[in-house]
Amino acid sequence: MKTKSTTIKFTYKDKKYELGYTREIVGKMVGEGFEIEKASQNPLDAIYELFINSFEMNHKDTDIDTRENILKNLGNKEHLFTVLVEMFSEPIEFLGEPEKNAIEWTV
Amino acid sequence: MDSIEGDDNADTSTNDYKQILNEWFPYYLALGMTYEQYWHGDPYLTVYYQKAKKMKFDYDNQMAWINGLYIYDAVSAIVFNTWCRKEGEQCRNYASKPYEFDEAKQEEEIKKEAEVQAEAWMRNFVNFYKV
Repeated sequence: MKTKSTTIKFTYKDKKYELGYTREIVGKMVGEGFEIEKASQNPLDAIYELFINSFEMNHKDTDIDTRENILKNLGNKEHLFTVLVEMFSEPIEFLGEPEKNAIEWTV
Repeated sequence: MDSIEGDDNADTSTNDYKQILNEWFPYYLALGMTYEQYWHGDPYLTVYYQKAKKMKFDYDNQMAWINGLYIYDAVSAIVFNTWCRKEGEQCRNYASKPYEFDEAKQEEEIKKEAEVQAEAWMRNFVNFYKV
């Protein structure tokens, strides 16, 4: 059972990172024109936007070059993209009443 | 305090997303969430607030039911004493203490009461043969 929102954790240059989104970040990204619906049409741009902005929750002070460097060096980009999209959707997903009688499924 | 209120030139889907966030905000404020928690906190917090809301509703519902039970008993006692009680029949009193809903405690109380009654019966029995 889930107890908190999804986050991405890793260590880079001896510093621990935990990336995620708050509703404010999601609202701001959307306000600046980011469209999650179009993410799959242009995954490279989307992954960049999603990843760079996910630092805003816990690591605002991390400069853009470091963020880009980390993204460049992260492996398994396909899974990263899926997780970023999931993380981005959660602030909206967790708003409504939980679905009753929904069938649980795993990957 | 920064606001997430929308720009009018954004397209429909973008506005939908922002609208959803803004529309739910007062609802969670009503549930006791703070601005900070809603916009800057872990998004999953809202799920806990939904669960807490349901628990509070169940609790309030139970309290209302108990309240009804006490009122029913009080009114029944008055109705019985005023219109239904026959001459010489004892008045019905309102409960002298709150109802016990804990079954274990209830059983313990019944046991205790039986012990007191047995002791009194034994004392009477001994006194009867003493004389």
